[in-house]
Amino acid sequence: MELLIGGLAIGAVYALLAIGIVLVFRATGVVNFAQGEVMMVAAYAYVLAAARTGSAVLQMAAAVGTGIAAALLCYAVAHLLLPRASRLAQVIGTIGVLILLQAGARFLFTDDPVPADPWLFGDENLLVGGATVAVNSLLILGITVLATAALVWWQNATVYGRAVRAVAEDPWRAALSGIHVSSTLATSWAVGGALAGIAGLLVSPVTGVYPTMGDSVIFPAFISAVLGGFSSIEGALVGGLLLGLIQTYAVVLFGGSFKEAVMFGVLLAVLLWRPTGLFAARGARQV
Amino acid sequence: MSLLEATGLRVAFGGVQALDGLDLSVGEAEIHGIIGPNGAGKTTAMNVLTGFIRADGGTARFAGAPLPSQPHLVAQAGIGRTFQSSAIFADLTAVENVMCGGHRWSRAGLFGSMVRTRAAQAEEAELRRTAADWLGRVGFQFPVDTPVGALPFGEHRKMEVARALMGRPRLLLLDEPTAGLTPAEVHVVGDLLRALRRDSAHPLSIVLVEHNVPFIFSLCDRVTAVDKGRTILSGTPAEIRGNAAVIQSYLGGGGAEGHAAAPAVPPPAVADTVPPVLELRGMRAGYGRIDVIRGVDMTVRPGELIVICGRNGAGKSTLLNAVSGQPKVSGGEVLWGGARLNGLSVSQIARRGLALVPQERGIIAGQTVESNLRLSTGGLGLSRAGYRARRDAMFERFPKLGARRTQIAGTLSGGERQMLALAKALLRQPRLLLLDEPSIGLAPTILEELGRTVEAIRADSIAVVVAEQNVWWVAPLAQRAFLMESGRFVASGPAAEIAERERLLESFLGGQGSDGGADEAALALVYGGHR
Amino acid sequence: MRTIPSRHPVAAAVAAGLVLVALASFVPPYRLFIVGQLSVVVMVTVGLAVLMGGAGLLSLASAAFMAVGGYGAIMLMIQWSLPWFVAVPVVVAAGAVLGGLLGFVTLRLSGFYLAIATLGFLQVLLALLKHGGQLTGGGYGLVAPLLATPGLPDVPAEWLSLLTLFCAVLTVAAAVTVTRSRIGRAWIAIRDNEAAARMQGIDVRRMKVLAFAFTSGLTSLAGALHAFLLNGTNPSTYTMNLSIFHITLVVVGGMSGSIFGAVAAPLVLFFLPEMFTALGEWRDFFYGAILLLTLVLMPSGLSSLLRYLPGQGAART
Repeated sequence: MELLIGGLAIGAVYALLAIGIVLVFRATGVVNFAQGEVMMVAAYAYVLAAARTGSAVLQMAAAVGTGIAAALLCYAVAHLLLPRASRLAQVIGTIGVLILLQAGARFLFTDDPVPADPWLFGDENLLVGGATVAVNSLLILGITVLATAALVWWQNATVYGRAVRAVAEDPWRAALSGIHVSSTLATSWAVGGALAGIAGLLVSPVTGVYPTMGDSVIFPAFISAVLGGFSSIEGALVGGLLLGLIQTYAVVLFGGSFKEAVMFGVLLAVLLWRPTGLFAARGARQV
Repeated sequence: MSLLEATGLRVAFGGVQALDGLDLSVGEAEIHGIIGPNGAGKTTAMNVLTGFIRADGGTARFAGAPLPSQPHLVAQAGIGRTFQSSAIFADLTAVENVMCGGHRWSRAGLFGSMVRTRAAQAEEAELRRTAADWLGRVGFQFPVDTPVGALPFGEHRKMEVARALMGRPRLLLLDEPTAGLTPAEVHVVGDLLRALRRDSAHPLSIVLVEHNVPFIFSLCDRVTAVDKGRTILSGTPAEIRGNAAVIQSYLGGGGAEGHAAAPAVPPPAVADTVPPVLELRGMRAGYGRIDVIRGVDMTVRPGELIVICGRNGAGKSTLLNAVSGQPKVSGGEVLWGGARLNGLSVSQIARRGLALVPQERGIIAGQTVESNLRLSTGGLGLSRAGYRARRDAMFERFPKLGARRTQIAGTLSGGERQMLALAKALLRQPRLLLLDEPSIGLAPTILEELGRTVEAIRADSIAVVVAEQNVWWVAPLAQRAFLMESGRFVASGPAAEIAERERLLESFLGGQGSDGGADEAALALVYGGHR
Repeated sequence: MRTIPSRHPVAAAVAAGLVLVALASFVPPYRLFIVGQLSVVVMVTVGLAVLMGGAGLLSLASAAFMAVGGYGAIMLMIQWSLPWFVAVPVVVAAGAVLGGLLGFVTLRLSGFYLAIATLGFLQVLLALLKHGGQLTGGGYGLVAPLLATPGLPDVPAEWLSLLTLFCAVLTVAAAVTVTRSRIGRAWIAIRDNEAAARMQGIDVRRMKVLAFAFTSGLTSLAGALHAFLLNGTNPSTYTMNLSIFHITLVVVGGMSGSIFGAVAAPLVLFFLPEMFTALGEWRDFFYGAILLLTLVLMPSGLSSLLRYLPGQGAART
């Protein structure tokens, strides 16, 4: 039970990042390599806020706001600095942001991990069916599922969400309808940043906060997104949760050092078996 | 025994029957033309024959064996091909592009290429010599080592023909080889194709898909006319010209009757004193460093319907797209009610009241009809009620759309898509409506309906500019027309007059002189008999 | 037009390599090690430029093939007591075959999916190396045996750097000749317009596999020399960050597969920070800033500098 919840909680963090990546990819075709660093910056913001205020709302605002700001920085580099560059150049641009953010964090906070207290409920545990479960893990899971549901609603039911999808399908035709393309794109990046901010807020008590914390989550997030078909929010959620479970049980069965190999092994198998991911049929694109 | 024998080819794309039992038979050393209206399935047939699209049914045999199912195997079997839109290797020089055509008969491997064995060097020299030779024969105007990215469109077309010939094919498929070429260049291509067939040590058969019907008739031994994915008739040019069914396929089911419905006299010209809504002054635009539009002047006034005619590749689409903001205008001025539009983004221009319905329609294929209409209100600041009122007005104008409001736009028929695209544009209550090739894929009856709709829009004092190859449905409704050639207007004036100019140009290209009867039929094919 | 160039490219490359080596032998020994390291990076970048720029295939497996070369060569020397000059060609061939296999298996993938799949290959390979027991030295890696050459005195460390430099020159020459051949044109054709390329009779699948094999062979060679230079292998060397570093070098050099750029980019991005060690903490900043500045100011990479060289106006190297 602890394992199950723990694995799902890790998976939920992957999913939050993966959904942000998918949102941006769907709207712009750019794969954001700096998404882990956006999370890292937000995690520092949370730690700093937690040292100054006890208000859970302000702490969350600090993390989410910083996440949005960092994501908009990525947007600025990929779209405003490199407007006519190829997709690959834009992706490399996000790698440039990754390097700068990491270097900045290292300069300001050194390499030593900063411990963080769990948000809202602290270190409490719950007894569920005879097993102790960290409330923080349940919180991570709950928030992730809620955020996903809200996003799916936003994308499918609101005019703004539909505009985002229209821009993703064909920016030129969307612009001909009077849709403001660049602000629509920026919104996708900002929402992705907000999700990374939430991930930073929730994961920092588990891992501590340090400049390279993004490195350890970005590729699991990519794998989650690929498992989910790379264009579906729900797919990324399921992919993330699945990967969290696989990783947790892989550690139990084979030991910690095989963690990456098992994750990527699963990925390779899925890619070679179904190159469009496990849930591609549910993807948003119906062409 | 014919070299290429295809019977009963069938292909469907998501419910649309693109090929519906197409037959084609090409003999040894024969020049064979394929003609048919837009959307008849000509290019689809090419794609099926060269292995890019798998046929749902039918058989195709080449030189006595079944056609291979993959393009590179088709090429290796001895079929060369050019593409409708230019398909160059932009990072290579002209001669290197043509050398790629020799891939199928050259042999150097990775190791040989790496250490440059004597055989590899000799082969490389042979490839280069042959490629330069072919470039000369197609009339390529530039040094052979020019990077091709910056070359004009016409040079691309010639280079592509040279590249296809470089593969030493037995059968050459040319998809609109004269699109975008000047009359003199068309002559060079025509002479080359004749010479190829005569001189070739090996027999070479050529299949031409063309809109330039006089060119086809003057060049081909045999012609196949297709419509709606089916072969109507295959025979000598004379047989095709005189055939009523062929002419009707161009004119549409109604034939003469449809024309009787159009007003005999176009609406009166709008006075010069009316302030223009759009004014182009020496406008230039293009992609990368190449200007496709090379200095265009045009004034559009409210209540005016203007037709821009010209062949594929003349620059009509680029002109409309550039006026709407993408590609960017690289020179001259675009004035909107006197204020410059240069440099504004597509959505900014759209918000000023200019609406473009692009080629292939301007709809968001993945979303419903209703959602498409809702999305087209960007920047209008409409209230929910305001939107509903405008939407209901559109459903009144296009009742079929109302019935399909929850359907995904991508699954609509061609005519319904065009209506939706128009409804999306009109919902914004634009001051200027640009329509890019609205006739593509539409049946003649639907085109007549479209003509009535466009006339009604114009009568509402909205300015309308239509770019069309297929002008019969709209020319009688227009006050003015422009003829576009290689990115410039080569003629302008009353629509009827321009159509006449086109006619003279056509007969000159076709080399038919004043041979009245045959000329008349050819014209009827191109311009639907409208004079 | 000359039918056969007066100087054969292989002879020219060997001559150029010897001249450079002769020049480099005046470099003080502790600096020579940097020359060797840089030569390794140049070899990998050039190989990757052919794959990415030429054939348009995005691979994160460069670190993996460096590991194949490094581990492979040392394992052959330890397990089968092969001399180094036999082990190196064997791992180059093995790397090429393995790369071709990877290319074949991933034929259906492109773009980001291909990148992630090749990354998966790297991670699985690394896990195997870390848990290979005595064969791979586990988490500590392997120590390279002495590079003994029968009949010659032992190779001093400086000479290894010079040998690497020489190999780098040959690699650059090979990349240039291949990209300017029938094969190289076919790669560019596929990248520029796949449909038209197929219509020239180019077998796209075969050409993609060939590109993978070529690049992987070169990368394995670089990996073997790299391991010799460092006196051994360590699994923590071959990370995905190393692969990403190689990709950024290719992009900075010029994404159209410019060989000139692939040589120049390591010089700029590897050498400049080395020289500005005084930057200390700011070195990473500097690196990130150079990367972004290159992307913004030189969209076609360092290769656009070629335009400013006299007589190189139309050259496309």
